[in-house]
Amino acid sequence: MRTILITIAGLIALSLHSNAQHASLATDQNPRYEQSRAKYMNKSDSLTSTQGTTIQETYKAYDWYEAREAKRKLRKESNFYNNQLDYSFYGGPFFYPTLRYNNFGYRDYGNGYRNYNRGHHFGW
Amino acid sequence: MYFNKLKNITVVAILGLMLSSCARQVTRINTESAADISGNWNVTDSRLVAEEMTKSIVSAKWLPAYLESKAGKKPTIIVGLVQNKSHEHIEAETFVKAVESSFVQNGNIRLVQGGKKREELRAEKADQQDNASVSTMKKFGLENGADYILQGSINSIVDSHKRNKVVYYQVNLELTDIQTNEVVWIGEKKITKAVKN
Repeated sequence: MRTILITIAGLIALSLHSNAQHASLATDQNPRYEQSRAKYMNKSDSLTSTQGTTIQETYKAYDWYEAREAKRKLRKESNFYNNQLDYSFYGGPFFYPTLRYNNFGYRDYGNGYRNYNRGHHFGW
Repeated sequence: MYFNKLKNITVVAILGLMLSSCARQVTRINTESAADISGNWNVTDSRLVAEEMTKSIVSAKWLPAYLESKAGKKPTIIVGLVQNKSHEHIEAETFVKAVESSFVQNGNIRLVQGGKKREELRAEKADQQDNASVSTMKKFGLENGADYILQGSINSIVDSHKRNKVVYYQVNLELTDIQTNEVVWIGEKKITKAVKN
């Protein structure tokens, strides 16, 4: 008898709780709104921190003229870099033993780079 | 003697020319005037977008409809995110601020802070809880909840061949009801430029 009474009381309490929950819903409100609420409650700070700002998701547009200019610049830089490389040293791929190896004994004519002509020394 | 004098004059003239050519010249120009230099997004584009958007959003149907349905209660707007998906760096704040300003000047629209500025306001409020006098301390939980959120996007299409380039920009701002997700207004500004290098 006692068990039956406890079960009935439990069912009544559950029913009341359920009714109370439904009573707090607005008209036509989804009864499972709590799941969505719980999902966003903890991350609202991070999701709203960018409000009022511009997110830059830019792309690189192909521009024929700019591409040509960039290619020219790259070629110029590449030539400049290659000109600085001196392969005419002893053991280098373009080494050619001459009396003027390393311009020894000759002026450099102030061009800033030793052996600017990349070892095209023919000994005269 | 004559040669020396001529030499001095020439040196002074050359020095003068060098100094004048090296001196930086700054000329103030009217912000309203159109000055296209590179063909990229500039102040004129931003101004055109601002003018179009402010004119459109304040005069659109959503505002009288809201005022009527809420018995004259003013709608509250928060500015959300603007996505720049174009090929250039564009700061949307340059025209979004003009739209915000139009809200404030309109008098029928309320504007609330969002993002980092709102964080700062809440931090200040928190600071006041410990440091301000009780009579001047601002309370938590009394902020105006926004009814609408203003969001936007910037897109572009670039078509170029040899020295010719045509750039198309499309700027959209959208006003959405936060409760229902219903978009109540979309503002659009299209700008097309032909650039010849």
